[in-house]
Amino acid sequence: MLAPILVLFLVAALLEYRSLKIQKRYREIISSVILLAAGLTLGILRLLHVEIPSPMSGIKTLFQPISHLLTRLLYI
Amino acid sequence: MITQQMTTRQAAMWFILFQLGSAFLLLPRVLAGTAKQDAWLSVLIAIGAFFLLVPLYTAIAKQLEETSFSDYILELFGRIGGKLLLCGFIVGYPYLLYIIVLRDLSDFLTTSFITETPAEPILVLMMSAVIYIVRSGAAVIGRTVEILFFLVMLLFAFGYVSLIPSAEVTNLMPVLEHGWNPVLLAAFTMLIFPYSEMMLFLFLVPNIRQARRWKKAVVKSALVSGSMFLLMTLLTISVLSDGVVSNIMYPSYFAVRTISIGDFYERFEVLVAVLWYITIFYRLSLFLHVSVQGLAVVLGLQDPRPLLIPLSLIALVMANIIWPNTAGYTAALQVWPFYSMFFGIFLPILIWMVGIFKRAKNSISKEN
Repeated sequence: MLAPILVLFLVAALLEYRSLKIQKRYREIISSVILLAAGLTLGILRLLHVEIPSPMSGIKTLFQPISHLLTRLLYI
Repeated sequence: MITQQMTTRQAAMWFILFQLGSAFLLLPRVLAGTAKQDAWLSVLIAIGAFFLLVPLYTAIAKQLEETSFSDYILELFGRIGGKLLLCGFIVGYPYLLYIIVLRDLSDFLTTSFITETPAEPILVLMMSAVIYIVRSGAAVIGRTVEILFFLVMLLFAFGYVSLIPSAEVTNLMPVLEHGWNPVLLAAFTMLIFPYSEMMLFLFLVPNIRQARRWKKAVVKSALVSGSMFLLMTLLTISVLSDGVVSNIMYPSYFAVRTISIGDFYERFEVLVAVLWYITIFYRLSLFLHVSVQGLAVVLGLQDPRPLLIPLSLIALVMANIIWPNTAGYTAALQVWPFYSMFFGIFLPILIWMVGIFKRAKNSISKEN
């Protein structure tokens, strides 16, 4: 299901770039293209079943100790 | 780009729907998991504690004067430091929340509502609406919210007033069985999620024009959404009892499913799902609005709109991997308040103090 959605986003972005090019907004086009490329790469990696690390797991390892500490403090 | 204007009334309505958002379904379970039958007390404490945060936020809103929040950060921390801070803040808070709320939406719909549909089409349909409304700007969001707000209130009244006959007060007894500690812990969770997310409203101060009107909108919305949360928690727990509430993923949805008056007046859970869909829409649009506005300042763009499509694409892919399953979600929800606290409470305190310091320094240099 992801593949057609990636194409959909690509087409929508290309349509937008066409009008931006007429207005000569090159800075906007470049930053948007870089982000779009990152998104497409992520999508393709996911289609190829490559494991992508979740940002949530980093947050969990960082903040789990505080959470445990506070829970233990309040329950005793 | 010209900042589009909203009235105080529109802003207050947007904020109410924003707070109802994901918390509407998840909060009763999170609260009842820690505070058991006293969850309604935690709601009261959390709202009380939030009104201690309001003066802090209003002080920042007053410092802003005419500048937008992102420009103000650049002004306080210098061009490079400010951009780094703003970028970290946007990616770590509103944008991450955008991804999480998208996942909330697909989790709820695929587990309890339209179980045959895969997650991606649901998200793409929602996202296209969100991208469209954020492209149109804050004034358009304000006008649509004036229409849909009353629909949400009507659905809420239908669903929850019908619960009153089956409520049993004995489920709320005994009060404070386990002492104050669990109640305070649950109140802390609720203060952070959803209330400290109100700090994102600081990005909307230029759209509402004055700090005084902004404060009015925030206070009004906190009062209305707080009383809705209180009513909802009281009813859900008194209908289902705390043991059931803390074990179901979406208790406020499940409670409405139990309504059956004379085998005719029943199946109101669809209304709750529609209500939730609308509130999630406004939640997502605020997160996306703030993310693009902030990132446009970081990248030095005049027009933030070209960022909408790429950012949504990344969010769509990330939403599927942010946690593997519901168990991962429950674990994440326990840690989330501690992470969110840094952005919702500590960052505003830092900005406020640096703001005071800068102003004092400026007035001294002017006198010399």
